[in-house]
Amino acid sequence: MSGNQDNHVLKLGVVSGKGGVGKSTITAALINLMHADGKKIVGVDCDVDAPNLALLFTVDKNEMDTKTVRTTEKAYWIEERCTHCKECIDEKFCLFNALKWNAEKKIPVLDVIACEGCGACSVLCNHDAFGIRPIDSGTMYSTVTGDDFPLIYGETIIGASTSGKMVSETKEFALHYLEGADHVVIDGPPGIGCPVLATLTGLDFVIVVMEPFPTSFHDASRVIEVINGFNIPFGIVINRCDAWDDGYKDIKKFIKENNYTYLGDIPIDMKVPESVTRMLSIIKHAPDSPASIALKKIHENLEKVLNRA
Amino acid sequence: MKTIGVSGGKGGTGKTFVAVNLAVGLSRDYKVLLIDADVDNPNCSILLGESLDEPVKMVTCFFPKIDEEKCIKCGKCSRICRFHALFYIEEKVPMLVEPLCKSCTLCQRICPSKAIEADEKEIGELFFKKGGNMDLLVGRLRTGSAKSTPLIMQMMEYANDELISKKDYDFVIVDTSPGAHCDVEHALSEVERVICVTEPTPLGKHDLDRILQLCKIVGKDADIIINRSDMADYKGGIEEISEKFGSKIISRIPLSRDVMETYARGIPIMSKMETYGENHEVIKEFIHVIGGITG
Repeated sequence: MSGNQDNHVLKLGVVSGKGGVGKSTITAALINLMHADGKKIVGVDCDVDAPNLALLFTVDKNEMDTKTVRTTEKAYWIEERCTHCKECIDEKFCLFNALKWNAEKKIPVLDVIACEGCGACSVLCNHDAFGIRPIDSGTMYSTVTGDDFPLIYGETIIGASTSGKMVSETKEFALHYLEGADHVVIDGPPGIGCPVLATLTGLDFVIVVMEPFPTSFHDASRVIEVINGFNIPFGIVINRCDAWDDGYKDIKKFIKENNYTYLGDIPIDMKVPESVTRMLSIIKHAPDSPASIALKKIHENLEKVLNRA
Repeated sequence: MKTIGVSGGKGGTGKTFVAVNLAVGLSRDYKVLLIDADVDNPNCSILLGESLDEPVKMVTCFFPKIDEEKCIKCGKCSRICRFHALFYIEEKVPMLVEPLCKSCTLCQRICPSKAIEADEKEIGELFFKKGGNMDLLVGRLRTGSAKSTPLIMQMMEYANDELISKKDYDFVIVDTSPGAHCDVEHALSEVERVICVTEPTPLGKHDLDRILQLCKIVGKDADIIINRSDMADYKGGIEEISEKFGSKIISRIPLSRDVMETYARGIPIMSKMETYGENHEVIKEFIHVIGGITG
């Protein structure tokens, strides 16, 4: 998913830095609105640690396609070769604290979760008492929504996590479904680390969701620094904009001072948590509620910005 | 000393809010260390109304640097690197593909001509704030860095070597990042118990299931707090997960205008017990949880 060459599909991502500020709600709503507008959409959830986007769509389980990936390798201990010399511990073969010594049995114990699969133990042990092998690390799903467009998501297997790699795998998997698509809309992970970097790679435009609280402001500023590092254009949405007045003013000032693109705000609307508990996008659940009306306006602004670019 | 991790899977459920208020509440009677291990987005200091000034430590991480004069161009480092971070062409000095490097140092350890030096690069900073009864340790990842896990590991080492072993803390509270990945695993590596903060929605349920799976794999007992318990009419979902894992729901914290306002101003509500009273709908929940921890 790099560059713009694959059929001129426009790739949009939604991030926020801070979790729980409305990424999935806004992604789902924009997907619905773009689809209603006649655009061919592919939805992708790259929050591989907590993939929630599909929970907001009615998906046809019969049309589900899955693929298990093995992006992670882990070490294993080979008992019959071990001479119990303890060199692996004394010489600190493992820098990830995944090798501990069981003094009673005089054997090394591998913490498979902490193991990063670097293979140091297998290379350095003079008796070849460690091996390394791939393990199942995650599953990718492609589904078809009630509105008949593909929705792709990846989910890591707990304890086998290499979230960044899983994000890249999920984006790669989504490539199979891009034919004829106009927009790919990606729900991103929280944070600013490896999975976010993998999500942002190759995007054409990013939507940054903020809330009028200092925590969200702080975290969004950090993710904007990262987006600027990638040189990707972005626009800001303020969710629950009426939650705190001073915070709202701070964000507006920040946007103005930096000359950032502002896409609009969404008021607090109790129909939103209600829609989430019913597992529906707010656009489907309450199309005339204040949040839906605000999202329609944001969608219009977004299309204008995208057309200009 | 007791060590408690605060996690929850889903983002924005109130992990930091719970961690900070537990720490503040406990610090009325005990000595507490609060560790902010959400290094992507450390927010504990914001909720405490504290600024982070000078870092107490710059955290660096190993990257290989190849001495071109010593390198015999054998390619061994490239062959043993399982992350394909060293790119080798016959007869040439291997090249580092930095984003793929996991800093395992194996290349340096096996190089037959000792041509690989450590090129320590900054990945983040640690901040330490001393308080009356409560100290705060914060890790902050450098923007653009993908090295959150080594940063958390080094922070935990610092916490053990420089703080916990030297001071007489009664409680250590560790606030983690959202998700259920390696950062969360490492943040929880030293804790005795985990409190998982969730919200009463199908999304909260789904992600709670995942974090409890992680707790089970690493052998930590976990309890559940439902935050904003009355935000939506969602029956049974969290209870189902509670039963599945045998994790008790120890508190339901209702929506509260007072929480929103103090949160926005960087004032932990537990520091306002005198203003709001012990019977405040949120404060009494924290008193109850603290009673369970200390009792």
